[in-house]
Amino acid sequence: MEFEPKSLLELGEFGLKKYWPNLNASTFHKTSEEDPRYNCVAWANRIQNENVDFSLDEEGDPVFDPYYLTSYPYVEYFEQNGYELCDNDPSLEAGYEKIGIYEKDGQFKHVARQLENGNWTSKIGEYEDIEHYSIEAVEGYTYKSKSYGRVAFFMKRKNPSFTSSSIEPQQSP
Amino acid sequence: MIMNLTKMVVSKNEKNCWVHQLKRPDYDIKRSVQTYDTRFGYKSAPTSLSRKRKGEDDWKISRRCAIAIPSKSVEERFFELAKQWKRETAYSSLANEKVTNQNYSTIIGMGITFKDKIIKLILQDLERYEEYWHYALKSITNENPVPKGRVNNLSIVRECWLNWGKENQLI
Repeated sequence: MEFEPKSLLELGEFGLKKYWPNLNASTFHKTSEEDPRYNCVAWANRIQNENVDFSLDEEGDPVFDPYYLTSYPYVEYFEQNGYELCDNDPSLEAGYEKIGIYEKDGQFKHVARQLENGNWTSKIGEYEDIEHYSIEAVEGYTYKSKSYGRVAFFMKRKNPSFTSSSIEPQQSP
Repeated sequence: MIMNLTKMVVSKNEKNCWVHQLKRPDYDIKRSVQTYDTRFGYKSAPTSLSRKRKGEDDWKISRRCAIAIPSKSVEERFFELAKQWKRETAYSSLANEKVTNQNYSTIIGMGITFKDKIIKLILQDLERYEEYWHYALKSITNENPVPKGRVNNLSIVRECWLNWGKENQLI
């Protein structure tokens, strides 16, 4: 039995637009191969061997407590990892790395992490890791519930490698 | 019996409607009907078909002669559902959205009827891919070989279930 490879690029323009209307060849580039072992939350926290997911309980059953489907358990998780809530400003801030938490209809959907060059990195579901040139690139309200909504929270933590706020976001060729 | 005499052909016409066509040596009865997938890929035949044959009496197939045609095998249906499930949920980072997908629920439903077959198929898939099969296997088998709190590590989940499959001689 052969399944389709989970590659964003192979979804084609129409496939991409279904979920991420702002995502196209000029707004992102791929930075790794697909890997189902970690999700966007783990990737934002630089974990690459397991998922960070509060939508399943310890036994592996889906949780039906609506609290665990909101962004708040993820905000708490990132607070435990040194982040704090900050202003909704996606620009680069010297000495801090930022993350953006996407929400749709009150439900948690996605997290993206800012890079030193001002661009953003995301693990898109089970697809690849990508670098997108703006935080809005993976936003979207199309296709019923199957998109990431909008950024609801920004969080930041100290990181000395983010040195200057004057760097303009760079686009890869 | 009707089943022996006739050959049922199910196809889609130009309007994308299912057409059940009964073919017999001297008869060609067509009727366009809306059918739906019943539980495991069987399509129901129309309950009654009738059409006046040229120059002859009415020819009627009674309700008792309704024929159920197995359109797909369990394996085919499983592959189709699994493929659709993977395609529909690949965008999501959350396991909750994967295990509550309709295709996934149908596979669990199939697993209750065709238990051994579906477990084997899932384990075969798990041998090749790290996927969220834990909840389906747990629901079908009523067993949980994965240690508490490790369900988010797909590598551990996969290893536990493959070991379980070997112990139960399903792989």
